[in-house]
Amino acid sequence: MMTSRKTLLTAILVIFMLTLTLGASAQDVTIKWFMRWDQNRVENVAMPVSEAFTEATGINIEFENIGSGSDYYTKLQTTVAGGTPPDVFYPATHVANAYASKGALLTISEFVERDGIDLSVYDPTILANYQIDGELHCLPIDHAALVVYYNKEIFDAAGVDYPVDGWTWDDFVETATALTLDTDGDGVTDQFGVDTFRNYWPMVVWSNTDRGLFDDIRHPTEFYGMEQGVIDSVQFVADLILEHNVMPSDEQRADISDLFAAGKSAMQVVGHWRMQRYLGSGFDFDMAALPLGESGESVNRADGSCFAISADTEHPEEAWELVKFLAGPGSLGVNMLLDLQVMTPVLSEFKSDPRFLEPELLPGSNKEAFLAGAGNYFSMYDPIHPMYSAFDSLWKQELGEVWIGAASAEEAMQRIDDEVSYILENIEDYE
Amino acid sequence: MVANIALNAPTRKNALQEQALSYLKVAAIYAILLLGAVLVFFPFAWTISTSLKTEQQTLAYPPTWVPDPVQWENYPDALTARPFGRYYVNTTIITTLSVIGQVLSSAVVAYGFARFRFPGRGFLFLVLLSTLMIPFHMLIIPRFILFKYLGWLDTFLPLIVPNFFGGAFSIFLLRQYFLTIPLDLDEAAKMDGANAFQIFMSIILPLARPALGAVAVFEFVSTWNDFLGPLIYLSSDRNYTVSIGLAAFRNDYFTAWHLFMAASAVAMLAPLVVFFLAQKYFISGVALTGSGGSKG
Repeated sequence: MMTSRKTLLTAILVIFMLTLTLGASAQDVTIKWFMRWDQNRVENVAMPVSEAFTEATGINIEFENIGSGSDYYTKLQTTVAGGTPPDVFYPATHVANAYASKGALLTISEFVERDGIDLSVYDPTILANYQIDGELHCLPIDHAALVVYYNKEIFDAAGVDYPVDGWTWDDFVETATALTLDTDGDGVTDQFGVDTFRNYWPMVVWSNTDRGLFDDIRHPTEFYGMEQGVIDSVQFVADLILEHNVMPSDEQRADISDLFAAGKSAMQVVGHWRMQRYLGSGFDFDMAALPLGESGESVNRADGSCFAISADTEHPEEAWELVKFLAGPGSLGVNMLLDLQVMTPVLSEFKSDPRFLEPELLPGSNKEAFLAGAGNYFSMYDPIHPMYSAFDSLWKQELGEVWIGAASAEEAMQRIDDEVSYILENIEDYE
Repeated sequence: MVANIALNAPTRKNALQEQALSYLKVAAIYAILLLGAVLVFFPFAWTISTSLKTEQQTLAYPPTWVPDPVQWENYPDALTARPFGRYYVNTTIITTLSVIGQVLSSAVVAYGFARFRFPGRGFLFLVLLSTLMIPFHMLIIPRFILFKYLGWLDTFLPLIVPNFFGGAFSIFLLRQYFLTIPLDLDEAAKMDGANAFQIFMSIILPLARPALGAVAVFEFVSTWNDFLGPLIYLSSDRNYTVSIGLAAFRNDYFTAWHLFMAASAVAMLAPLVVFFLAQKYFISGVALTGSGGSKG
């Protein structure tokens, strides 16, 4: 009796331990995937992609999403510093670079080579932003290309011609002026030519000078702020508000999140991410490429977001499988995102995809506008260097004076130049 | 008598004047209070107004006050967009336990500082107060690492347990209040054979009810509204709090204001109920901290 009970106990114990061992096998790996997407992408991309991935690979996904960028980065930084980072996450270009230069990202070059992924299908300028010393540290998915959205109904009502490719900033001002209206004659503008895009002032600089704000985007030694082309570009943006009155000031906007969506501005300079919202606003609209500046070159943004793997991950292979599934050539993730009409893809195969160029939601639209500027891509976060945050708060403060007419672009750029020179002299303090 | 009559006329006139003046005074006070009330009510009214608008109306320029049509569906839409029922339960659990922990532990420590003489008391009190000056952001990572080693990440524990170790501000508030309770009461109790703990339980705590109430209300409001703590420590949807759930309506490109405001209005209900129930304590708490002028 005693022996049989003992045998039974041993048997149970053995079975229990076997279950444990089997349970811990590769089939039970769970990847933590941390995103900052909107609910639309969470429900229509993240969820189905997760399910498809688990079905295809047997790897489980623990998905977490924080929609607001600043909250997302607070949490990401805490978990990275705290030693429990998510396996796969989604940094913007300059954040990815900062993390990579501190060794927080897993280099994926070896995986890319091993799996024979042809990197030539990515735009080289864009890809270069995610490489340090030739090593790729994350796989980009989109870039924040800007276009001019325009409300066809407003153009038609005013009898103004739609923008055409190759239009210039002078044409832009002329068009915007014709569309800025005081409909009830009370001296207050009721409809603006364009909603504010003053924070994209570097884009105007690129179009006029065909170069960025610094001599080297990774290792800046010289700032071009005092060059006439840069000063004129900043003053041009300010004059849209102050002189031409075609772009609203802060008071005039009254904190409305998007005047174009509200039908109160004829044009809007923004990226693909707003399209869903405009599709829901009920008016007829289309896109035009950004106007040309002095340089005569079409320009656009290179920066975007990428899927990165934590250097501390316990499952590098599985994490890489997920990244490939999300952003690799031909991947399901990019395919699903394309159908949603939420981004400009970096993969060339998707750029020419009819689902991108001729979406059912927008028949006959000029989606090619998002592809304008290829060959002249620049980063809005310039330089891609840890000193960017200092530069960012500096220009926001100084140019804030220019936007309200309290300083000229030249005065403000002089002050910025003084500060930036000091930063560049002591650049090692920021690294 | 004669003098009285002689004085009567001007006195009556004075009395009338005084009465008129006092009416004016009251009117002025009410006008100021009304203005204050309108200012305070403004964001609340805006929340309710926006919560009943359609998405298109939230974008209207210039903004409008009265929703047309009134979009009641925003409430069920917002509350079912994420599992807000669960978030509400989670937040209630965290907040209730935090309040209990904060009040109990802070009262014990404050009692020690207020009633016992021991070497280094002044210094320790100074150390306690100086912790108020450490910015919360400096503590985020060290605390995160601590809770990681304790295995508490993605549980409610990091949000609740620290409250059982007192809070510097609560301790300070309670100590100051305890100091105003006459020592004679303690001594009388001691004569009757009460020990320190009994004095604490049956003399100090009942007399300090307004201060305890104030601490509880402050703790309630700050825990209920806390965003950073839950953001960092919680990572599963089933553990999220209301403040994290609200953030789902918000991202870098777009905020669904109508849904955000509908869910916010519902999230506001709990603090509102608590405020009405504990109004007396809350006001005395404001008076205690000195932010409300004289202690009436």
